[in-house]
Amino acid sequence: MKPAPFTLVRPQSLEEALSLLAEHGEEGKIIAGGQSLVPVMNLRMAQPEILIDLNRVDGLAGIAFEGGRLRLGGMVRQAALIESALVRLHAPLLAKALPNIGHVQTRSRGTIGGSLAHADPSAELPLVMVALDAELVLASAAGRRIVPARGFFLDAMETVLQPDEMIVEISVPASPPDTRCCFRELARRRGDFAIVAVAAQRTGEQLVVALGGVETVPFVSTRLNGETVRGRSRDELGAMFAEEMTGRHVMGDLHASADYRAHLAGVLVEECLREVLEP
Amino acid sequence: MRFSCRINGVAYEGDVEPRLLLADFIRHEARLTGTNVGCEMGVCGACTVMADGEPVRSCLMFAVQADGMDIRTVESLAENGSLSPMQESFHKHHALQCGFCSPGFLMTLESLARKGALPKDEEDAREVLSGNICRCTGYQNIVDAVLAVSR
Repeated sequence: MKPAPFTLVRPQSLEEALSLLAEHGEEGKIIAGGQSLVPVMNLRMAQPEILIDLNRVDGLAGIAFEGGRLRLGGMVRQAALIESALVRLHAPLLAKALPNIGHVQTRSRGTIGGSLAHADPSAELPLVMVALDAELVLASAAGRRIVPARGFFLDAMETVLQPDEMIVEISVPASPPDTRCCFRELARRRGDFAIVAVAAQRTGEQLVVALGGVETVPFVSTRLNGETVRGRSRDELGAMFAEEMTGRHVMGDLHASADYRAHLAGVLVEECLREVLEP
Repeated sequence: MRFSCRINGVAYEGDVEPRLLLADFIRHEARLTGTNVGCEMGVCGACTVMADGEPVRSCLMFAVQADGMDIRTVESLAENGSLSPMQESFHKHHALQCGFCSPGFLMTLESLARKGALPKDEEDAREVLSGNICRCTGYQNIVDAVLAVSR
């Protein structure tokens, strides 16, 4: 199908983009890579009256390592993240997740900011940012605020972004050299959205296990961390995790029932724990 | 809305609705019908073209967004009536039946070839081609055709 008519504006600067957002944020949408937005528009599931195209705005696509943090501009393409030596070095968990995102043709346009703003429950980037405890810099014409990734996602396709706000930067603390990490995803075909995905990272005694595609937003496991896993057998860890899952609101849909997702989560968590814990 | 771009080295100008998809500009305005529209929602890959050297889904770009870009479509592969090496390999290995998906596969592969990144084994080939769907061949002949060129 073809999208409904709209106006497209192409700001040349961030200031101009924010000013347009302030004026049109309610009835308009930002278009970054378009890999999530345009399908929705082509299906007429969304009919924004105005699109604010960020592809001409300079200064939003940088990758830098500063002050112990990896700093990524909101418009950094997923393909650029894959090519980046800084990402491989300072965020190996992100590097492991990236090849699972979409396909070669979507990663050339798709952006990190766009994926986070879109907030699909099954998307990999929201999960990894939650796992890495990323900070998002949100900008509007009125100023900027920093929101932790772990507080950014409210529900499926819903974030704390206000209509006049956009993500300009994402930063993550650099992973120390002795970090061990694991990313596991189950999808029906390569590149599909995950049915369930697990991102785990261990540095010394610190352990984070995060899950996507299970609840409507990615979350960090409360039961499995550096303290609680010490000295536990595989069976004990499985039981601890299963117990946590009974208290969770697991999604069920035509791709996978809630029971199946919960089961898959356990399988993938076990794989990841094996990878990051075993000597 | 006005825009201009180059397609296969030829300059094009348009004054079109913003909602006109790049795929539709290529097919209906530029009359280059090699690029096919399969799903219009970015999952099948039949519309794959190269934009500034990168493989993109032309059904997920608006034509006006291609302003200033260098677009390459399947029509650019053959030279003076001679098939490109990859096209020749597709022919030889029977990697197409109806041919609807083939331009998309070829342009994905062309973008990789230009970067020296053609897959060298079956696993990699299936990985990089995961964004192109074929309903006819069952993919094996496509993989064979690709590896025959890359190895």
